[in-house]
Amino acid sequence: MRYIYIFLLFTISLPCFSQNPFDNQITDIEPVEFIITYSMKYQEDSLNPNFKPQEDMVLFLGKKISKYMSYNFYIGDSMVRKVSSFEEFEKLTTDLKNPLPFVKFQIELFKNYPIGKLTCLDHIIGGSFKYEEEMDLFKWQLKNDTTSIMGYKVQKATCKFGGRNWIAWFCPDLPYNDGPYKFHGLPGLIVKVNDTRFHYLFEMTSIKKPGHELKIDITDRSYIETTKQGFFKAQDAFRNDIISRAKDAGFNSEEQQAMARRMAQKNNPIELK
Amino acid sequence: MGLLELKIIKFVLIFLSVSFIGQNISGQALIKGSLSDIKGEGLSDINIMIYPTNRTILVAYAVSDSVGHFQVSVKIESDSLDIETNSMQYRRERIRVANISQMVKFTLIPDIKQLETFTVKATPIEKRGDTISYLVSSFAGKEDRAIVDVLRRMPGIEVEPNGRILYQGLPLQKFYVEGLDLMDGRYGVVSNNLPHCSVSAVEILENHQPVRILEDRTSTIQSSLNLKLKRDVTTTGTANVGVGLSPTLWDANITPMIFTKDFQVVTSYQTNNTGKDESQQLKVFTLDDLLKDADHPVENPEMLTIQTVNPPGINQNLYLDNNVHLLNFNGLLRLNRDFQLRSNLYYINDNQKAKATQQRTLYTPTDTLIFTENINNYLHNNYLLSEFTLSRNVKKNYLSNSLKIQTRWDKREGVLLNGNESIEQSLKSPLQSISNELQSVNPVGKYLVDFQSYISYDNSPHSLEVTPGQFELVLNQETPFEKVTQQIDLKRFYADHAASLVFSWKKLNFTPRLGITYRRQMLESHILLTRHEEETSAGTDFSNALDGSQTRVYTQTEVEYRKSSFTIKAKLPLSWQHVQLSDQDLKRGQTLCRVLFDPKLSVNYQMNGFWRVNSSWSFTHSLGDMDKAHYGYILRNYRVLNQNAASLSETSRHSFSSYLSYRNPITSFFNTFSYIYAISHDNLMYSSIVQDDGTTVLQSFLLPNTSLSHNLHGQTSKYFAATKTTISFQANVSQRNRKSLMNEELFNTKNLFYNFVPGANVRITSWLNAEYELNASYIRTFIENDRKNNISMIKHKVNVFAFPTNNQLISFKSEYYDYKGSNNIFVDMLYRYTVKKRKIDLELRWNNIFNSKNYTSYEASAFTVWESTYVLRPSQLFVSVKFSF
Repeated sequence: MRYIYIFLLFTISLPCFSQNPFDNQITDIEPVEFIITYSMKYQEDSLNPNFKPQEDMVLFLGKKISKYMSYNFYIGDSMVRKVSSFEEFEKLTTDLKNPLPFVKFQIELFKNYPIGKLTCLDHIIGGSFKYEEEMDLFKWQLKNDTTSIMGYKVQKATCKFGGRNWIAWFCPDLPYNDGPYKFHGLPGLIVKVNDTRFHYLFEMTSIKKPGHELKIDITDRSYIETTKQGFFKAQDAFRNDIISRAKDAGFNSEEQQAMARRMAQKNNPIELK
Repeated sequence: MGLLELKIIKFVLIFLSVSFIGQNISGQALIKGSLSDIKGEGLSDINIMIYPTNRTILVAYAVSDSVGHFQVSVKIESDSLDIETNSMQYRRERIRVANISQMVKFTLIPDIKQLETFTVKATPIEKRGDTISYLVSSFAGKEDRAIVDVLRRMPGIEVEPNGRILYQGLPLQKFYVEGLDLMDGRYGVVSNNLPHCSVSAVEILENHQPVRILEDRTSTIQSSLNLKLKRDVTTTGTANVGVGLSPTLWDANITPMIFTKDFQVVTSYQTNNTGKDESQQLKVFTLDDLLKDADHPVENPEMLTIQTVNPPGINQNLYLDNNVHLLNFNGLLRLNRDFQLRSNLYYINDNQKAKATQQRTLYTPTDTLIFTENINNYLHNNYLLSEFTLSRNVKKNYLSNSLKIQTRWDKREGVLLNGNESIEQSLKSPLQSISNELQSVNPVGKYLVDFQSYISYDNSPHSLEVTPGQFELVLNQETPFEKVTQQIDLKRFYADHAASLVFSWKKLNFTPRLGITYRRQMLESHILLTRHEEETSAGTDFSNALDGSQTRVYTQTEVEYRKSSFTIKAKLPLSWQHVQLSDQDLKRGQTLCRVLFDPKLSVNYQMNGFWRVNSSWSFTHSLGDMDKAHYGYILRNYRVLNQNAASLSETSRHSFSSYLSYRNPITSFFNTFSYIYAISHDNLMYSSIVQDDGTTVLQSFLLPNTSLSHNLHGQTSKYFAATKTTISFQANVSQRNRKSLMNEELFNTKNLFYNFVPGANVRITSWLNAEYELNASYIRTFIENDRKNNISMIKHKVNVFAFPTNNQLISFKSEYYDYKGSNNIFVDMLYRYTVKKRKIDLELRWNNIFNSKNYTSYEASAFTVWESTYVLRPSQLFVSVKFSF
């Protein structure tokens, strides 16, 4: 029973993998020139400053387009892509000896794709979502502070975004106008960015050239096309309606309550509005 | 472009034209400009950075647009500015201009920059090769008790609420103690109970491939964890003790453990009489195992039973009257030459009492028969399971052999009141079984061949005694007699061997599988009658000496076609089966040889994320289980005398299912609808001859017949954000049509089942939520289109959960229904308090607060309806505490 429970928990945490991933066509967009990794520390529960999990995030830089996602999601997605039948997929998801990585963040952000737009793909149990935003999201203010981070000369810039005040450190010597999450638009790669309350902190941990040919690609799922507000609405509904959703997924009442309690502690999204 | 031109460009590398636009009076200058390459093409995505002269602090910037234009306003008090261009593909240029609004123009020359690759330096944790080692003492805190508490603090390690450990976000592949894998994935027992003070270091084995032959072939990204112990011998453990009333209740669990470098033991003793079924722990190991065992013969054939009632669909601890003891031993020994021996032993002693009343109604076109039984059963289960696994895991090959020995000495006794007659049943159902499973992975040329073998043998010499003797009409010329005894001796042998190969071609992966199974079994049975204290045989018609064998060769092929949101899949399993049955005493037998092809086709279509349609069709053939065929009569239970003398059952079944769903997570509106239609053709018909006292003679005849079933299921739910409420509705409707043969009348039966479940779930505050559900079910039986009954049952459920603080839980669960004019209400309450610092859980449970006595449920099949009323456990109060030592 314990294993079935883990299995259920697992599939519920991997919704995007669970809908016949091998049915999906993958479109290559452009070659990856650099791979930047960031370490993201975040306060999951706005009431508990002592619990700050860490997650590795990756930014794939192409000539014109970039893709941002969590490292685990990238690894898990790569494993799932090798699968070509449902049996193999079932085997992959139920193989307790060699399980898929635990994916907490399933967001994929494409900057300047299509041109001038930011495309966001995300998943909530029960659906894959897609929304676009304009690229000029950030009204950066340059500050006079400069410092050196990991040997890179960086300058400070601030902005308001998603209901938080952000401080970014960018490096003009790395002439990519990109950064973690949706952050971009400074004349140099964002090496570090955090909100003023330190609920979210991104720090660059590596710059690498891809070891072999690697493409920025997008998976063609049947996405629910919506707006950012539509997606946030779906997210809120999922959070608040977790008990009935858990019940639908076959969890017993004790497990439903436990999931609701866990969900209540995940109350601090990066964008508050 | 000629060489000469290039040379010229060298000289006019930075040709810039500054056109005068206006005086900078406001202190704000608007600088417009364009960027182009040497061919004059506009360059996009180039950074233009504005600095005060001779400074490195950026004051303004712009990025060139798709045609290479930019525009930036600068507001500094300075006479002049530095403008710099920067990009990955072109050389950096810097010019100085006056701080006034103007137009600037850059021509850039290509220059691919090489960014230096870097990685943040490793943290000061000792790192050698693929192993990272953490010193436990430097991470342990004052409140920590078990090693899991310390693991939580180590960088890169996370522990999920269910106890699963993640490293860098990925679940651990193996959990070793001193390099040994004792628990095989069930490591929670160790991590939650092993005190951190006995562990010196935690080692993370990065990219660890536990099957060593696969080491160089498949890369893993997962890690394993190894605990290094301080001392050569570590002993520790955990305990859980609970007591309650009334009668005296207990629930205790003690788990001591020993770890050394070459020998490890985790043991556990568990006992309770509170309705918790400890044997559940043995049932499911891993999902993998469950899937694999699907084709094997049932573990315990259970050909004879005492009359019981199916368990009701309610929480087991409401009705299970038990007294169970479980002993569990897990040991691991490191042997020479890379071999490891692991043994897992379980012993269960379980005594259960079950009380229920069952009313059975049988309908024929002309008659309605009602029988009532008062059931009082005593179950004494004794079960020993030993599993020994020998494994060798080296670079050259992988080998794992596991031997499983099971012994059961089960005894069941029942006193049954059938009208006025009291019937005693006594069943002894011992079982000895031994099975061996071998898996090996060996390289053959470029490929790895996975070979699996499963061999089992079991013997079940069962005997059922019924007092007074039943079936006097058939067995004893209508004269009552003292006792009837059914004896059975079943011996079975089964072997399954299969090999599979993994290889890829283009983007496809193939896993062809070829296998052969062989099954052989001997069934001997006799019915003995006791008359005037003298035991005699009932004769050859009531005995069996059946020798059966079955051979099956199988292959499996799969084909898949997909195009965007369409997927069509076909499964094409092919098998050749040969069955032979012969009864020497009765001089009867049969041989059956079949090639079976069971295609399955399915189509899946998905539309814009909201809609999904799936349809599938399958045509399957199945040969009956050999356990069910016998030429002589067998007394299955006190009231069923069974003979399956016709040929082996052959069923072919067409099944069509379709599924449609509309799920909109934005509006939180979810709908699914499914329909399954199945038509089966069976070569056998079962005839029931029901006598006045309810005893039944069951025989199979060769009479081809067809049965149909329709199943409709619909579900809808909507979440209302304004009131934080989810409203849901579920409906199930099913219909089964078939032909039945009872008391020599052949008639059509139709069963209708309806079930409607409306419900609501409200989140009153963040720490309080409540749910309500109404469950209405209806059963109708039609005999030759004549409605024979109309049963309805409506149940209400209300549950409330509250979390006043983080370490407290209060829950109320209640169920209410009206049954034949009387009210039935069930209420359970639970209060849990966690002492966080000491890791102690205190729990207060009050079950069945209103002390309700009975619970009633209904079941129906072709022409029978069962109404079962269970006797519940009385109202009970229970306190428990959990701690470790």
